[in-house]
Amino acid sequence: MAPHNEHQSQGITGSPVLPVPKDVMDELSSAQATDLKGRPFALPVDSEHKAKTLRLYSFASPHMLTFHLSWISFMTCFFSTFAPPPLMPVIRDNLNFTKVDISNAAVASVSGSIISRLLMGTICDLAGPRYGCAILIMVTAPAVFCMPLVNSVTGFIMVRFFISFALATFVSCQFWMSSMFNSKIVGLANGTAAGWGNVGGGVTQLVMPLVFSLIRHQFGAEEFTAWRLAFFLPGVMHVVMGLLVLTLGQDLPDGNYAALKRSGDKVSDTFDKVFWHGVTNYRTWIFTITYGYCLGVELTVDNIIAEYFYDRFDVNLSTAGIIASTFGFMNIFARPLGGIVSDLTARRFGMRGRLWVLWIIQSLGGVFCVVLGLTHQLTSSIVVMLIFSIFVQAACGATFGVIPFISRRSLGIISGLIGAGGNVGSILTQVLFFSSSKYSSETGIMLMGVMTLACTSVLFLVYFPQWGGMLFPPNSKTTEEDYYGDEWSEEERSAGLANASYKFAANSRVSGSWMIRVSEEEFPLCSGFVDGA
Amino acid sequence: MACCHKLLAVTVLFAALFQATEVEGGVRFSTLERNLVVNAQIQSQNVSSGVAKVGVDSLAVQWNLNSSLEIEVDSEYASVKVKLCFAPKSQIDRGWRKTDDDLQRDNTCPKEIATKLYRSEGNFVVWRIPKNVPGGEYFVRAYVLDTQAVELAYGQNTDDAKTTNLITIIPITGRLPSIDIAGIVLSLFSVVSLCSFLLAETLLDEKIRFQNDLLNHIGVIGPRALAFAFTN
Repeated sequence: MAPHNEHQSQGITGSPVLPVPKDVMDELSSAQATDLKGRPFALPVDSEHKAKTLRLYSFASPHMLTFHLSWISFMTCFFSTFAPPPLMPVIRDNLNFTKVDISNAAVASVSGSIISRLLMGTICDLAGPRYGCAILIMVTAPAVFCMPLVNSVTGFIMVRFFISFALATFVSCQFWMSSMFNSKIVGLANGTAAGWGNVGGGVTQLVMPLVFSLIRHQFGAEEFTAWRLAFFLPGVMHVVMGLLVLTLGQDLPDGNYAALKRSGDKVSDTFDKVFWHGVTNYRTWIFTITYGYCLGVELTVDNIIAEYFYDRFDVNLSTAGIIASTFGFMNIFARPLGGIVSDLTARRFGMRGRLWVLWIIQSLGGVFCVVLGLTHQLTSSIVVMLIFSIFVQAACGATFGVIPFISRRSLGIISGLIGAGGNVGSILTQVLFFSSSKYSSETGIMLMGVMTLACTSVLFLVYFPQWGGMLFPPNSKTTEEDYYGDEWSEEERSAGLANASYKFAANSRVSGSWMIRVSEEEFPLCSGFVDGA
Repeated sequence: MACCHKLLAVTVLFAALFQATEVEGGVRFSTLERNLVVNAQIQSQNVSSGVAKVGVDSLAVQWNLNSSLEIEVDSEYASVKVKLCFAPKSQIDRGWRKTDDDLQRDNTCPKEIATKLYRSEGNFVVWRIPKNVPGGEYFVRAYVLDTQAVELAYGQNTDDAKTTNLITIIPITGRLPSIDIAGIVLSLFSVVSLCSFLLAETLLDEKIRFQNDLLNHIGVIGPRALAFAFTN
């Protein structure tokens, strides 16, 4: 009766499992694209039902709702990870910290996410980004609720470590964007979501001191109790966002993973080959170092800046928080701006332009960091910090203008490694310059700027044979297909496994643009990793 | 030429912006005379050094002008500010409590005990240690101020090296049983609601799979087969 061998599913969709004859399916697909409930999509979509535009003011299900759920969850995790720093002047007195203790806790707060970010990609692949995000955010909620209970240095460090696992929501955020948005717009969607998520680091500096103040004055709580109560805010935010993601979220435009039938024509790659090609590409490691000094610097500053203003300029807690929050708020436009500048430069100067722009922006970030450490006056400090923040965050955006072109086969692993490199850079900086009483905070900031300048200069070593490097022109004999095809062996190429890479190579030649990304059908294994925080 | 002028203007602007402006320095501590004699005791225990608990114990502080001074020094003395100050042990590795000779930048004395009008003797104050005092070792210092609130002299209950008569203060933890309970309850809620959701969706998925398998087994009459059936 029913032809079992004619099951049709267009890529990954939520289409019914019931067997339907092929010509009937074709008829259905040519009709107007509809969502699960049979209503037409609010946004124009492509054949995979991925949105072709980004409408920031809309909350239409599933695309824009996903966008907003995604970036708000990520922002919540940044909020809770960097919630202790603005209240540090109170916490350090309550728990009797020394400078080393504070620094150890700050290092712990960026360490946990290294592990979780590397694992999250696999979880998203297997269980879907909706579950990945919701599970992570609700499992780290108890860690946030443990913060009010902390009584010792060790406890504080452990809690900050476990809360930092939540930063892996960036991976689910990016993965989810790539599932919902067409390759032409996914870069902008990813960059905006990543930037707005990072703003959580700024919002927390503003909100936590205000909440603390409110609890102290309105409810008359003691200082050492008020800061504990303030931590219920990020905890509740975790739970609320987790529930919203579970109830309102959807893995793909056509449904959730559980309801899907995976099509058999997805190219599956082996982990060890992908890993090998990722780690043996020297550019991966160069960008790991440089990203450590743009995202790493951003994370370090999120940890130290409120205390810096409180101690150095004698402002009160709330004022220090407001000043510190402006650093994070620059992310709203600075990070997407970095990507856009990279993109515009690439139109005229290709990859060489992207590399130069990245080097210039990040080096200027280093310069203004040095100046910040040398500035003695409050107003000038704030101005310098704002300029510094724009350059640092734009550098993060510009870095991800180059990363998608390093490799096609191993894009996921490379993005994960470079993202982890950002955290490692932060750990290194905090251990070297902010952990002991050897350097004052202002000297530490100045030295951080010097180290940024030094580490950014390794960009001169990047060379793409088909496009050139900063100092050397391209090798005219090598084409994009050669570069991306070289990641596959002869047998693999003849078996047709490298076709997705060749497709990308052709696209990359056409524009080398930040906006053009590989869609899932071209590289389904790690399609989530195209931009990062 | 125009670009040179612009460059000069920008350079001057930047120089002005980043110039280290000398903040009006305060009085230097090293210039102050130790003209007051200060005594502090933990009131309930009647000892000059020991362990005191915040919110429970009080400090009884008394001060008077050093009677052995020969010249008249207190003609400009207007008021006295008594402060609780960190002993060196509580300042180690804590740069935010650093002692600085410039009194405007000095962070040694975080808490004010009392401000009184100056009298050469008969000064006494009892101060209940508030709950926001951090734990640590402390001593008591009194600054004498003139009518412009500029420090003129001081006295402290410990020696110059700040090693004697130190008071150890035990702070509150800030934890309350209600906070502990709320934290545990909300954590459990988070984990339990997550697990319930996952369980519910897994069961639903299994139910749908079961139904689909059933339908596959029986065989579904597709639209084409129906059309065939109707036309034939």
